[in-house]
Formats: sequence, structure tokens, C-alpha cells
Amino acid sequence: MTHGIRALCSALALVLWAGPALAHFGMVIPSQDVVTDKDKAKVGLVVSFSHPMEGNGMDMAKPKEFGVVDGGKKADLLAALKPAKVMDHAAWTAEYAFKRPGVGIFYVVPEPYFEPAEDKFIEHLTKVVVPAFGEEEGWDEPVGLAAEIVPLTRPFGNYVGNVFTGKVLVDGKPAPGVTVEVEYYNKDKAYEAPNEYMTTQAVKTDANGVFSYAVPFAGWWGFAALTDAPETIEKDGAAKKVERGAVLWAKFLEPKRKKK
Amino acid sequence: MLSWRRWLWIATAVLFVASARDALAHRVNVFAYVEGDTVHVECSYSRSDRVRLGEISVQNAATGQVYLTGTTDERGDFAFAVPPEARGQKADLRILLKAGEGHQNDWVVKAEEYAAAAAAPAPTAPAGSALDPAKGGGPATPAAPPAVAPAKADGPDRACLEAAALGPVIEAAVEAAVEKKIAPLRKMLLDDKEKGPGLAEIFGGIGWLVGLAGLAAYGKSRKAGKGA
Repeated sequence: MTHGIRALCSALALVLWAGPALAHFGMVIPSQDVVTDKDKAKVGLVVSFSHPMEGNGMDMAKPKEFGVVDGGKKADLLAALKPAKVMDHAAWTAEYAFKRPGVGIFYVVPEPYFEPAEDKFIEHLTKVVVPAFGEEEGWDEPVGLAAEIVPLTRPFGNYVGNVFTGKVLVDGKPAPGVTVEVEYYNKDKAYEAPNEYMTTQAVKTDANGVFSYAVPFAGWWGFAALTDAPETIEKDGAAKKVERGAVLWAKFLEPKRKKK
Repeated sequence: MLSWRRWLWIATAVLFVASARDALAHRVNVFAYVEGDTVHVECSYSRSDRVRLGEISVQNAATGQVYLTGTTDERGDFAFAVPPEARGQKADLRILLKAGEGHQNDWVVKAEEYAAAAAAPAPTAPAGSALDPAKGGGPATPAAPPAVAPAKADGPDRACLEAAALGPVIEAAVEAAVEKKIAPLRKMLLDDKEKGPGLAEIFGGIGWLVGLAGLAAYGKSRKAGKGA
């Protein structure tokens, strides 16, 4: 009897695993990748928890933390969050106006999300970096999250094809051997993965916690370094594992071509 | 008078020139904001590397006419009062920085920005008509100069009309006074977000606003009372 149940569970697990590789991504997508014009100093930010390549959303509870760090100064933006819909699911939006030159590192600490398919909680600590009015100092500073990607490539002003390099820190220390999932924000579903392996790209961090990825086409790209949190969360009387992802989003652009 | 098309063309040209300079390696940054009657200019290579003794030239963005020149201080800062001539022409200000070794950049302060920061210098002449060409220059700006208001008069009564005409004048005066009072507050906010202004300062500022609004309302009601 127990054997039967175990076998059934295994079979079920297999079936679930064999499905298309849906990678979860914490997302913070700004309305503009850089701020250069004072008339457009207000940046809209869309915060969600989604499958960016497939365009499937999940309901996201109000984050625990949402803020911006600029020049070592932290500003809490949690109160600015308004409910919204992204990919037909609950998400959040906010606006932030740059008043002077700076580099805004926006970060989100979400409520852990329970994923029944994986029987674990998922918590993606997500960042995006927006520079304003010519300033660019400070893009390489960590925010100090439990897990985070500290960029080694400036995370804005990049062309398509550039190699993006980042360092994964867990509790402030470089994390070797961590899988980093890479996914494209397929906003208008303009692209389709040729096969299920193509939906999510994967690279691993080296002994120093460093990973690299060459970006193949233009748009927003998300990098999610997946680690297991040391703690578990109690659910229905059982201790569930917590996947702690460190996510960073960056936009890569085609050069403008002169019109002849 | 120039047609709006021509204005649009000039604005585009200015924008193009401004953005074309952005991409130099080791580029130098100019950023400016307006407080009351003063334009504050900040010049830097980066947050920690400022432009000391950089040459500043303030020009009419459309014609290139130079209003004033100067140099930045040790912190890369420079401040100047909006030139009355520029205000008269409702000219966008191009702030050109030359930081040596061919490093230069510029920043445009739009006429709307300084007009909004300091309420119009007293609406003596009908400034409304002179304003229109500037509107062709760029996307809609939220700040409508207060000088455009007098058209509101609805009663045929002369006294009533006078009171209505006085309204904008009082409003402009109050706005100017408020701007003067909150300018230091705003600077504090900008200068040091970390420390931030104390609650006392914020409430003080709000107090000023409420007080001045009250004064304006009182002034208006007295004028209206006299006419009746």
C-alpha cells in the first residue's frame, strides 16, 4: 500500500518535472532603462512574480520590502506600491521621480510564495538599476540582501551581445557552484522558444561566485541565482524548503542606425 | 514671429546637440535645477569626482546669445539668478560647461521650469500672447504660468471685474512668497535625503502655505466686499 503511494508520488513528480521548464522570476521592470530627460524623470516600476518567457503570471502578495538605494542612502518605497495586474495576476506598481543625478538600485523582498508543484516556498530578492542624468557611480554596490547578484558588468547602457557578468553573494559571501537561470522578458510574446530547453538558459557560478552570460537579443533579461535558504517555513504541519533566488534585471539594446 | 514648426525644429536641434554630447568617454555631467529665482548648476565627472573651476556659459538655447559666464567652485557647483533678459524673452537657458581638455557638456533649463519656480515677475504686460510660441518647443509641461489667468472675469460689474483681475496678482504674489519661504526647505530635501528635514520643518512649511493661502483668501474677500 505505502509502496503504491510512493510509486504514485514518484510518477506524479516525474510527470511534473517532465513538463516544460517553467522558471519562476521575481520581476521589477522600470518604464525606462535610463533617465536622461528632466521632463521624463518619473519612472514607473512594475513588480511581479512571473514566468517571463512564457508570459504566465502568479499572484504576488504585497512585498515585505520595496525600496531604492542611491549613493548608499536607502529610501523605503513600500507605501508607494499600488495593486496592479501583470499577465492577468496580482502584481504591484509604483512611481519614483529622480530629482537629481544618481543611480537608483530598486529592490524587492517578497513574501515567500508557496509553489505546490515543487512543494516548497520561493522567495526572489529582485533588483533593477536605473541611472539618472549622467551619473553612473554606485551601480556595483550591494544592497545587503540575504542573497543578491552584484553586477560586474554595468547593468545598464549595454548592447545586445555584451557578456553580462555578475557575482552571487549569499549573506554577503561569494557563492560558488550556484545555478543562475536566465530568461528573457517576452513582453508581447514576440518570440517563441524552439523547444522547452530554450525557455530558460542556465549558467553556473565559478569558485568565486562569478557567472557570465552573452545576451543574444534585445530587451529585458533576468538573471536568477537560485540557492536554498537555511531556514524552512511551516505549512500544514510540515516544514517546507525555501528557494531563495537573487534576481537582477538588465536591458540590452540594439545600436541606433543612421537613417539614409 | 516664428512659426511653431520652426520652433519645433530649433528645439529638436538643441535636443540633438545636447544628446550627441552625452556619449563621450570620461564624459562630464551638467545638471541644473531652479529654486525661486536661482538656477543651481552641478558639474561632475561622477558623484565623487566634481568639476573644479569649470567654465560656465549661460546662453539663450535658441539663439546662442550669451547671458552670463562664470566658473564652478571646488564642489563643482555654480548658481546664478535667472537673467531678466531671458525671462523677458521666455528663453530656454542652455548651460554650457567647459571642463578643460575638450570635455564639455550642456543642460537646458526650459523657460517653463524657471517661470514655474518663481511666480511671474508681476503680470504688467499681457504676457499671454508672447507665451504661445514657446509651447511649440516641447511636450506639454504641467506648469502653466500664473499670468494667463485674467481671462476668468465673468461678471459685467466693473468692481467685480477688478476683483477678478486682482485675484491672479495676489495669487502670483503669494506664490512668489511661498516659493521664497520653501526654497531653503527644498534645498535641504535635495541636499541631504539621509538626514531629511525634521518634522518641524515640514510642518513649518505647511504652516506657511496654509497661512499665506488664508491671507490671499482674506485679501480677495476684502476686495470683493469693497466692490459690492
